[in-house]
Amino acid sequence: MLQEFTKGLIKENPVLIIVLGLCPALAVSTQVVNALGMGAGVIFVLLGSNLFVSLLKDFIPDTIRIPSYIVIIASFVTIVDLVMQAYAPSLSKSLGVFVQLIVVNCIILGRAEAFANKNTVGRSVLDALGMGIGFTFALTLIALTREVLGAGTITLFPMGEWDGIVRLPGLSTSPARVLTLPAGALLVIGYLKALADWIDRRRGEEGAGDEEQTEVAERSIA
Amino acid sequence: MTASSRVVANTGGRLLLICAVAALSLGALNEVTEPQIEARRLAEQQQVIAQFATADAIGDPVAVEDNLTVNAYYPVGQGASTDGYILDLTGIGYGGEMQLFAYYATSGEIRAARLLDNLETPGLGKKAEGPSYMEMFVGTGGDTPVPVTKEMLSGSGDAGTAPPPVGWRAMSRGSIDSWVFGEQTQSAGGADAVSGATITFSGVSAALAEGTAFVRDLSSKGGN
Repeated sequence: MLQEFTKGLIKENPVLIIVLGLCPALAVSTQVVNALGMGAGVIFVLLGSNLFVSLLKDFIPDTIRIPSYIVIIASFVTIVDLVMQAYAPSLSKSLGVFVQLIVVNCIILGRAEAFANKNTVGRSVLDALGMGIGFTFALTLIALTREVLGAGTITLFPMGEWDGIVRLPGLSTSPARVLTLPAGALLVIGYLKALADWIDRRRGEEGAGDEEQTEVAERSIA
Repeated sequence: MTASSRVVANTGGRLLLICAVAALSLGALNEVTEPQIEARRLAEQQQVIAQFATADAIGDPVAVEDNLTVNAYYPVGQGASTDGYILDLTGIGYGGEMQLFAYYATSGEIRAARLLDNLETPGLGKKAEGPSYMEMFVGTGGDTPVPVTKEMLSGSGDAGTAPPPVGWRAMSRGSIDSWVFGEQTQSAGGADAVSGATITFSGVSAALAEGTAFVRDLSSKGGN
C-alpha cells in the first residue's frame, strides 16, 4: 500500500518520468515561490479529485465519467483560486492564470481516470499525495535551476522585513538570462529528464545485477 | 418511457446532481471569500492612490461612462485649483484585461503609474507590476510622447513611425496585430524590461497614452 505513495515521488514522477503536466512546469517555474505555490495547489486538487472520484466511482455512469471528473476537478480548482485570492493575494497574483489552468493539468485528470476510478479511497489518497509531492519536487527542481542560473536569486515567501529573495553573489550580476525564458525552461526540463532517465536506468541495472548475484548465491548454496 | 429514455434521464440526472452540489458548494465559498477579496482590492487601490498624492489633495472619484479605457478619475489639487488627475484605466494585455492607476499632470504628463489586477504571464508580463517597470513612462505624455514601441524606449528609432494608438479599441483586429506583431517585434532597439512581454507592454502603453489624451481633453474643457 505504501508503494502507491512512493511511486509518484521518483519511480513514476509525473513530470520527469511520465512527462505529464509540462505546460505549468514550463510556465510557472521561473521562481521557486511560484513552483511551491503551484505544487501546493496541485496537491490539494489531486487529493480532492482522487478522493471524490474514488468515492463516487459506483455512482458515476461510465458514459459521463469525463464530464463528471472535470466538474469535480474544476470545483476544487475554484476553491484553491478563491481561497488564494482571499487569504494569499500575493501568491495568487504571482501564479495568475495558471491556478485556473490546473483544471486542464493532465496529471489530475490522468490520475482520476487511470487510478482513482478503479481503486479504493485509501489507495487513491496515497496515490494523489505521492503524485502531488512528486510534481512539486520536479517543479521546484526546475524552478531552482532556472532561477539560480537565470537570475542569480532564490525567491521564497517574504517574512516580516525580509523580502524573501536570496541573492547569490556573482550569479545575480551576470546571470544566463535565457534560462528564465521559455526556451530555457525546455532546456532545463530536457537535461533533468535525461538525468532522471540515467538514474532510472542505473537503478534498473543495479537491480538486475543484484538479482543475478542472488541467483548465483542461491545456486552455490544448492 | 422507453428503456433508452430512462437511461438518458438517469445519466443526465446524476450529472445534474453532481453539478448542483458543486455549484452550491462554490456559491457558499464565494459568499465567504468575496467580501475579503473585494476589501483587499479596494485597500490595494487606496494604497496606490495614497502613494500618488496626499489624502486631503485627492477629490472624490468621477465615473467615466463614455470611454472604454478610462473608468474613473480623481481630481488632485488644493482648494479649487486642479493640479492633476489620477485615472483608473483598463488595458488589454496577454492574459486579458489589466487594471492600471496613473497620476497625470494637467498637461497629460505621467507622474506615476501602477499596474494592479491582471492575468499576465508570471516571470514575463507580470514584471509590469513592479514599480520600476512604470518608470519608463514617467515624464512622458507632456512634451515627449508616451513610448509605445521599443525604439521609443531606447531612443534609437523614429517616434513618428508609430503614433500612440489613441482610440486603439476602435482599431480592427488586423491593424492591432500589425501594430503589435509587425512594427513592435521588428524593433531593433530593445528594453530589457519589455523583452518577452511585448503584448503586456503594448497594453500598458496604449492605456497610458489613452489616459494622456483623456487628461488633455479634460484640461482643455476646464473640467475637474
